[in-house]
Amino acid sequence: MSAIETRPLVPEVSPLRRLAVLLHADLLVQTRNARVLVVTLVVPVVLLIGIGHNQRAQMPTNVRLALALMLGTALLAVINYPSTLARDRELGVLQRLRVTPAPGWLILLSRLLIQVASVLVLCLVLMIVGGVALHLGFGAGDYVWTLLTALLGSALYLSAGQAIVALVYAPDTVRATSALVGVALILLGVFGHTAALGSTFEEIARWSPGGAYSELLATATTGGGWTGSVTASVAVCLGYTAVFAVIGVRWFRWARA
Amino acid sequence: MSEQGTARRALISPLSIAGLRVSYGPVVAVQGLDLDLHPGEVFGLLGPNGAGKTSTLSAVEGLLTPDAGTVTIAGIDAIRQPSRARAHIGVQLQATSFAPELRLVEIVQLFAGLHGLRLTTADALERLATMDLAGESRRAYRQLSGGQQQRLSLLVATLHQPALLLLDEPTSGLDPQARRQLWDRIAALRGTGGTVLLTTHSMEEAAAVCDRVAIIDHGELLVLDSPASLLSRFADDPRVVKVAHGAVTLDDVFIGLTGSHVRD
Repeated sequence: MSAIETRPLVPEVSPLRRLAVLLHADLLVQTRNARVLVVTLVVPVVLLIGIGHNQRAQMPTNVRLALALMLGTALLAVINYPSTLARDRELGVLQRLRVTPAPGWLILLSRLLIQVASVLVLCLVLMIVGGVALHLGFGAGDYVWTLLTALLGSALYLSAGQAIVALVYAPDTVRATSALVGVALILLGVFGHTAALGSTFEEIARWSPGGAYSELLATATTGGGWTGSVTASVAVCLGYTAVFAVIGVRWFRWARA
Repeated sequence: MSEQGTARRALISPLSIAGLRVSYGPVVAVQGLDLDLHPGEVFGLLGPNGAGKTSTLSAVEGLLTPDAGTVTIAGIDAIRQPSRARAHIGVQLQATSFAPELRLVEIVQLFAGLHGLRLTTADALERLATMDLAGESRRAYRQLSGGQQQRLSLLVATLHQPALLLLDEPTSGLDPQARRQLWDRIAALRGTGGTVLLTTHSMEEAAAVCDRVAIIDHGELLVLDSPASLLSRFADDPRVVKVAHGAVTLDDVFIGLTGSHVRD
């Protein structure tokens, strides 16, 4: 073929540039969804203040904050993330993105980063609200440790969400499953702090994903030091994250069957 | 090639498929398919349901890894370097969508950005205007009609002036006016030097817009020629004459070659 054509050259685009473009779009989607904003931000705040003003609750302040943050993390990462991903898979939104030069891992990374950022924002909001409304005193170190713990927790819960959307296909079933798993994680976090159902159950709950995360949050929000228990909880969280992530990546399908 | 802009370069085949084989477990969807598209042509890939059209397109788009064969897009090995190859293609898939919450102007900026084009809002509005969608620019995607969604999809697929445009049943579900409008747009794309590969069940569409068509069935190429040549070649073929009602049409050629039984 000896003819000559005139067409635009294809520009080189760095993965970071493409990630920035995807992050912008995913952030817009996240902030446009009023239901998600209300449920994931307002409900944990109301829970924190509600428990805080209920004198009969007799719950230590650090545990109140830990539970509110755990609830918010579960709502964002275990319930909202897989439900939205399943919806977009069903609609063909993911497939439309996949036929662009953006690799699949970048498309998912953008969505995950938006959820992680949302958890961190929620964490800050809860700590500020707790400080103002409930007079919980937090130093700079408390903020740093709590944010790091929320980061670890978001990784743990998002990997669980990814595993759900990998193993379950239909959007309605994903929504139902993620709601059940989210509630289970929250309850396990609660029972990891109480012997109401017996010490054996408390011990099981303590080492569940919800229990290990809530234990870390409770330690971080009280400015507790690094102990063997903290090391064990971090190890448990990382272990669960790795297992869920492997499942979530290995069996994830991009398109409707 | 680091900067966008117009440049002259030697002409290479926008799409070359050789010995393509795709299977799903024991089911072979495509077996040994060879296709070579010419620059600037509109090429129709025709076949009954289950003939292997979608599997072929998926292999070209890099959405599946074929068992064997090569797919080369604008000189790039699309199997080994799918992301690089996808930078040269624009795709309008039959069953895809955009995020329902995003506004049209944001969708245009998103997909332009993924191809390395930085469009201002004014730029995006200008692009939308070419598809008569400027008035809808602030509306969310979920608020569009079917025809508007189709036009947006075509706009997004052509934002970066791809060397190869893949259209999967582009006029499916459109009314006659919208279908004619889309044909005009495809003809305009041909004028810019881009190559179009489209799948369709409409022989009228194939005859109206395609320079060449390939009819495939059971994953194999049956014939490849211009619509007019196909008509003259097979006008007297007993399989075609048997199914014709009056003068032989492209529909009759298609049915004659692929059989009358209904596929699922």
